[in-house]
Amino acid sequence: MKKGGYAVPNVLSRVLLGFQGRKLARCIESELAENFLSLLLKAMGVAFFLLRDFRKNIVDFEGKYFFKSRDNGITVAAVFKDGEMTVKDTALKDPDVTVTFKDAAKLRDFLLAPKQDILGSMLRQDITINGNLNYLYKFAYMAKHLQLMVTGKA
Amino acid sequence: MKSENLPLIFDIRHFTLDDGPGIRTTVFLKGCPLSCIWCHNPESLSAQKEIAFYDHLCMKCGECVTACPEGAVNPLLKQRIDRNRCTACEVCTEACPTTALKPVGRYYPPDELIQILLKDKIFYDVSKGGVTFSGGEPTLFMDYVRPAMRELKRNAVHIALQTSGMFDLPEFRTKLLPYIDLIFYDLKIFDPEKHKKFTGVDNHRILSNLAILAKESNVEIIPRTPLVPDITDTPENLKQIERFLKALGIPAFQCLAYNSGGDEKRTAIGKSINRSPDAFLLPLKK
Amino acid sequence: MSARDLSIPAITLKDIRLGDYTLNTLPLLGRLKENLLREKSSVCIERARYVTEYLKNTPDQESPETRYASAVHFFLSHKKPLFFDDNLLAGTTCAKPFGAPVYPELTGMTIWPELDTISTREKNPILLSDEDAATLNFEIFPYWMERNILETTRKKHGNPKCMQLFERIVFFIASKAGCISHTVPDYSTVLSKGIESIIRTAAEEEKRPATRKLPELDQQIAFYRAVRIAMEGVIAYAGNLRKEALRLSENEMNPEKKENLRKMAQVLEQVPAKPARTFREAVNAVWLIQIAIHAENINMAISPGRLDQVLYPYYRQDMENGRLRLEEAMELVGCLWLKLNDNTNLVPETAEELFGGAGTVPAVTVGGVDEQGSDAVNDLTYIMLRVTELLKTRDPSLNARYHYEKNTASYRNRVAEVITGTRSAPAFLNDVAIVKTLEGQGVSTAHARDYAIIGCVEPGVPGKSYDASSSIMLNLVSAVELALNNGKRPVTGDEQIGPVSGDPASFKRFEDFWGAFTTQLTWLMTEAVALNNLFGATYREIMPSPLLSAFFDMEGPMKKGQDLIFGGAHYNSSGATHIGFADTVDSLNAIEKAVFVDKKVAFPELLSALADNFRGHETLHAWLLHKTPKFGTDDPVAAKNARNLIEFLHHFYQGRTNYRGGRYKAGFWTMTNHAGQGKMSGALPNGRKAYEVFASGITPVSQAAGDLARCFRAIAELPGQCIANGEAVNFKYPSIMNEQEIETMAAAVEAYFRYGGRHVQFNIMSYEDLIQAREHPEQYPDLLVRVSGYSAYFKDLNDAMKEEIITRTAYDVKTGKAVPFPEKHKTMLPFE
Ligand code: SF4
Ligand code: SF4
Repeated sequence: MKKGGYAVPNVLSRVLLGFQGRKLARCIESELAENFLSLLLKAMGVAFFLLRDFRKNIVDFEGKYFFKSRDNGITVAAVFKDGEMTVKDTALKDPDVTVTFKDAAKLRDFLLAPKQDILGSMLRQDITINGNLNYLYKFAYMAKHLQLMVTGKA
Repeated sequence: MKSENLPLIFDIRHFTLDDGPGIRTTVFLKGCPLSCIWCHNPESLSAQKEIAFYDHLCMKCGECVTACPEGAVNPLLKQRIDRNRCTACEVCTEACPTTALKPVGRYYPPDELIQILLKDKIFYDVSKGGVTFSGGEPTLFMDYVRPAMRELKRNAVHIALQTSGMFDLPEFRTKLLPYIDLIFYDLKIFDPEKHKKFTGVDNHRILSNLAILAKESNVEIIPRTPLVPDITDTPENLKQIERFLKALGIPAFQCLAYNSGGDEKRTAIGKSINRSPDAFLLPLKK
Repeated sequence: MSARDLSIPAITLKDIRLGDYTLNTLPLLGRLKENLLREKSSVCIERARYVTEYLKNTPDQESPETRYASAVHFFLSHKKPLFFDDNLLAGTTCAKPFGAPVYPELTGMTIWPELDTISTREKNPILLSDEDAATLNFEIFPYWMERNILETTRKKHGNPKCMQLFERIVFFIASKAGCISHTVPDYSTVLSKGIESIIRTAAEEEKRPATRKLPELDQQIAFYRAVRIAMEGVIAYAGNLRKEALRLSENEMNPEKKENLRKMAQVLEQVPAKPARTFREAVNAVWLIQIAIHAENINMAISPGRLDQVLYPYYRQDMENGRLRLEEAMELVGCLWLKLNDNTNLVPETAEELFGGAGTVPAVTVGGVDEQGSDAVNDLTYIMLRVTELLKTRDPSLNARYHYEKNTASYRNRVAEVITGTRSAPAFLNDVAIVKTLEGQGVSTAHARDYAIIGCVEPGVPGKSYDASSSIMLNLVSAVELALNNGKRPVTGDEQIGPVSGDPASFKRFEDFWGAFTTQLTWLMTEAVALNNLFGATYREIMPSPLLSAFFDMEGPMKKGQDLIFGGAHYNSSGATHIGFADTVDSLNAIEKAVFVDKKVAFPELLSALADNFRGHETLHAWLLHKTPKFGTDDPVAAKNARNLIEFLHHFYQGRTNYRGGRYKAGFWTMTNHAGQGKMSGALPNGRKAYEVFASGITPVSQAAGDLARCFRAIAELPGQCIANGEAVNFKYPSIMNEQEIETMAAAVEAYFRYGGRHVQFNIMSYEDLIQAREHPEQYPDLLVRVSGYSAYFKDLNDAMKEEIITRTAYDVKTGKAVPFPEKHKTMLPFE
């Protein structure tokens, strides 16, 4: 399994990511995806905190992400600044990219499914993106990488 | 010529390579004085319009049953159409959403036919091809074929004719012969008795027409014999034909592999399959 | 040096087939080909790394031209000199034997989410080392987040509507976010003069400002400076290659290899800096310039053009002096063919559906007539045909021009024979018709006669026209669907996307529907053109092409002191191409006949049948399928709608001006988009079911045109003058058995051309062959198929595309009749 060159070995990372990592792994592998976004962001937070190599992704990175469900039931803002990630469940001014998703499962599939159907997701409007796509690509990369670390597979 | 006086054409095939030199367009006229029992173009026999039904293409939607003004479509019949009632009005073929019901034969006013044939002229020119009149028997309709041939000739198109030889020679000589470059002349069975038995007509005229044409005209003639097992492909028959041709100074003739492909078409137009010796496919002999 | 100065006949070959030359008698080519097939593609980050490093560390300069030229120079002078195999030509596109370079300025970042998985993904994996992935993730991509063409444009124009529409993917694709390229440079000049002479010219022009005005002056000076900087980069790379060749040759034990390296070093001492003197130098110079252009422009459809003309003077002279043997010439041409295969596109997994399997499509064009209108076929034409026949590689995409009055029948038949041998290449092009079309676009007769194919099928004039022929790919079917649903599309749900064009139920005549359709189409095209012009403006700021400009005609950029992107070329245009042509025409036909002429069905019922994908409407479906006019037959309604559509598109585009002052042009070729777009479109009135593929290029719908002669004529009679951006006509013969059949095929092509047909290409494969190849890909590792203007390995295509190629109508060469599709596999057909 390839890990992008700098990740710690799976077993170790799984141990390090501990509880949050296991929860995310379970969410990825299960049918239920309700808390996917918050689990993902929490696990990301832990990973940024504990894993120096993973943290490298956000050193010198500034980015404002706004995630919301189509019915506005979920609104989450993730802001990266000064090597840290802060997550709030409020709206956000001038995000770099806004990701609107139909439901959490669709968001999960969009980011992490082994055979991503990005075209299909966008077409069916399971996901709509507004803003700078490169920010989305970067986030998708980090999510995917985290997934590799917590589950051992893509 | 009014439409009711026009002969029917049951197919115009573009881009044929087997009906003479080069790339050709072949016109198939409907109606034949012979009725060879092995005929693989059974729809060419009758000069009347017919309706063909192809069971495997039918989606059983019933549109034809409702559409027919004569009550001739009977879904219980395997042949679907009660041929005794059918007037070939084509209402059902129009209504049919698939190609399961198809009219066999269409009228082409002479101008339209000429136009269609000349449209392919470039194909003829680049390949030294041309137009072949086939059938059925094109010489049954000399007054219809003649203007088409004349127009083609005027446009320097090579013209071939496929014929059974059953025609009135003087008429043929004046009406068609001047335009023709090549004749495929069918010699099926030499023995007059057998000829009558298997084709329904006497072959005297066929033989004498050929003899005279070979002598007095310098049109290229290629005699052809379809190899029907045990009927035409007997050594005796082939030898007789060869001898006859040699006497006329015609060095060679073509033997055509017989294909039994007529069965489906025969069933489609409601004719029974009635062939004594079983047919098989033979390799082409020259 | 000019081919015409020589008085000896152009054909000296005793056997134009070159039948004695095979991969056994040319073992080097056989070996290199095997290597090529074995090689797995790898992501190559070398260029991205150097270009990014340079730009990161160098703040703004006086002009975008010099800034970008300097970045390219920085890369070229650091580019690793590599010799991977025994190829006779020096130089590699990438730092990997078979590389997929990353262009982060364009769409390179779309692979960001895949950095961990691209090596192991299911479809067309591309190897990427951990180290390189980390470099991309940490060093390269972050720099470009706000800076690539797409995001620069978005930021500048506040996420304009046209861009949002493009990002829905199912309406049109604005390819400029990913490339301009698509051009044929002028190789003849640089071969005969050498790069040093270009540098001298640029330096002189830079110092000769008196006649020019400010502020144009500044820009001109900057342009010439940029040319000089870029050209020096090319020379630096060649110098490094030479040093490395010498070093390697010193250490080499194998005498043959040693000799080859020594010879390469000799060649590199001369070219590309100085004029080529020998055939070998000329061939290697072509290759080095190709590499250089890819240092600046993405590896997509940068086409060498008429190599049989460009290289002929060198071949001729060497043959006459006895310096070159025929097999050496063939080896060198073969080596170039193999080198052109040393790189591939970097395609993210999600885009495989739309673009999977495409090569980089460098197109080579042979045959036809010269600028004076005389037969231009020469020995090299036949050598290139034979090498193509022997190697059967994906690239270069070979195109054979044929002038039915000037070229010989033996040339015509030989091209047909090569198609039979490779089963797919080359494509056949009609010189008479294409020259006329180009003249219609204002190209002079002499220039038009020198046309070459740009990428798939688009004609351009080498070094003279900058055509950006793949700027817009527009889905025609989306306009049909929008018109049927008053501005909405089933795939995009209830959103009012397009303009309100009327409830079809209220339409009284077919013309009303046509009006709604063209309203939607006009809106789509307007948006697509607007976006393309925005992208064009962005290129000026961040990615001009001084290097490519220097390899254009001296009367163009070098004379005007203007980069190509600013309109420096002699002729300028932008090309749009259209997806789903035949399905659209047949749908228009079906609506005209079913709703208005026969009144078989009213719109509400038709719409619900389409919404239900014809389930429960089987009778209507069958009727639409069998009883409505089809494009590719001689039905006058089909001919009318096809003609009207083409003319409508043409007139729209010709009235639009691009950012370089050129006109837009309409074309009909689809690469693999007809399969991808088909997979995302609902059921259509012509009976095509939802999510099935569309017909390719301008080819009739599968199984709709049963008769080859009529089909040829229907296509030939389309208004060719209005198809200025080329068209792809894809046919299939199940088999071509003997010389007579080859001749028939060739004669049929000639007839098609005499009727006015412009392009045709074939796959010589039966339905069964292809089904077999799909089921057992391992048995057909190098089966090449003609897609829609280029060749691809069948195994690399996505499933939809495989299906489309399988179901394309096959015609029996003996009868010209469509071969019925095997009953057993019928569900594959788009209407089943
Ligand atoms: S052709 Fe006319 S009469 Fe005969 S079956 Fe059809 S509809 Fe009835
Ligand atoms: S209309 Fe045609 S398809 Fe329908 S039942 Fe009659 S023959 Fe069959």
